[in-house]
Amino acid sequence: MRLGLILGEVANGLRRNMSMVISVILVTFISLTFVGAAILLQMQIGQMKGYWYDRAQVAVYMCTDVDTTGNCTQTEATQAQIAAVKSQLESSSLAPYIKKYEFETHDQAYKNFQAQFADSPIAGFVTPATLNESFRVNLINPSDADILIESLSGLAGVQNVEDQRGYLDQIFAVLNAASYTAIGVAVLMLVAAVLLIATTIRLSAFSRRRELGIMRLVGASNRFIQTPFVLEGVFAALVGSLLAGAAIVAIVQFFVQGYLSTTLQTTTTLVGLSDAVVVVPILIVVGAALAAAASSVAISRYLKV
Amino acid sequence: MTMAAPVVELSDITIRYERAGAEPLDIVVGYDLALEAGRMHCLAGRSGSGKTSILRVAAGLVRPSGGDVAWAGESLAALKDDAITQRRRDFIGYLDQGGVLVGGLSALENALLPAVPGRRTRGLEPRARGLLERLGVGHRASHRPDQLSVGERQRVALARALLLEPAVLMVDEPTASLDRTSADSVIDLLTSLAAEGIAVLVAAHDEHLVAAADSRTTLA
Repeated sequence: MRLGLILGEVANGLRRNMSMVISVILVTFISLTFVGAAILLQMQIGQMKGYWYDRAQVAVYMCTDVDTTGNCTQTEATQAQIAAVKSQLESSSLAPYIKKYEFETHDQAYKNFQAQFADSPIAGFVTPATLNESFRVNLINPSDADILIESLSGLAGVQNVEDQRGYLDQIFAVLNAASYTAIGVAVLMLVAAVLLIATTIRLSAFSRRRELGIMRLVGASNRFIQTPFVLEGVFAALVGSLLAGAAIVAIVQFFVQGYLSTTLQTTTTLVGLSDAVVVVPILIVVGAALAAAASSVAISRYLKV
Repeated sequence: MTMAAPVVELSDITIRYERAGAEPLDIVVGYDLALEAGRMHCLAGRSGSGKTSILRVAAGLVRPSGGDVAWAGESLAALKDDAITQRRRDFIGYLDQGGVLVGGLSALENALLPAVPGRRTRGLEPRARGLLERLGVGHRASHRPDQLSVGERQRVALARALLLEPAVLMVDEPTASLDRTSADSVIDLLTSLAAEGIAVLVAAHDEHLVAAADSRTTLA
């Protein structure tokens, strides 16, 4: 009778407070979905960083006869100046940081440019002479780019030394902002969920205050009286976190793997189901912590026996 | 008069209600009571005079603002809430006003509720049936509270209070919502329970009940 009585009370409570329970489920569901999305976004950023930073180069642009920026004075970089840069790259002070480098001539730069902007009218205005010759340097550790910039920017005939990671960092900054926004929304929703669960438990306790009074009279322990109410909150939070887990798996399966990967045609790896499966248990743990927090608020405030 | 230790002893009890934005309200000040086995004591007085408050303090449901409650010579002041709750289970049977039952459970299941925390429902079922018989509601054992009359509900609640053979029975206004005949039969019942050795503490303003008690205190 004991377990049956408790479960019966839980079922009763859920039935009586159906609309509150549904709102708890929805709020938990949405907040945990945001938590899951933020985690996935961070995973995606991590994967992209690994992929692109490996391919990011430091470009050392040499002067053309139209450049006035950098160390240029509208004169084409001389062979001697190019050789000076090359010898710097091979010197004992820089060589240890460099995986490999290539020199891109005017003609190669022109060919790449034509290929890249094949469909653009810009392609017609560009001549090989206006495109910089450049050294394309792959570093062993991409974060050592500053060393190259420092030691090469001052050389004669060098227009600019550019770390391509700079472009990537902008993209990552946008993605990071998106994931922080998701976390912010998630935190607000989680607070709402805790308060809502606590309120639901209070309503539930209030609607059964006569029965609670009887159980106190007959000497039922605090735990015996509180368990049904706590189980109610746990049940709602659990359903919410399971729904959020399902939503995360669905988002990865149908949006990321289905829609994004065919639309973007990207060579970058996108987060996959194996990542989503890692996120689901995290959501369930957060959901359980949520219910525990809400219940302890409710018990200390409304169920004191 | 026997000289045994009182079953329930209240010494210098003060019950005060804190009120937001007003002076605290003292319901009861300096109340003493020694309740002995086999006797019925009546707390008399008009509504709001603190009868129920004293019952709840004596039952360990509420701690007094001042003074001490002792059960069979043991002070409750040093005990934790859970310990008091556990002791109350088979020491005190409490019948609240109106005899509230848990809806959705049958009369028999309601009478068995005190056995639930100790998982003794199966063993105590014959006793519960016997109590319902003795109190005249045996034929209603399988009915639910909404199918019972006020008097029947109160008897089921009394069976519940008596299930674990408590040393003390505390009863709040048992005759308030009953007609004279039913009320008098409840008074007879309480008198015979006291005669069997139970200490009965009853709050009432019914003159018949006040007169039937072995001793009484009138609250202002």
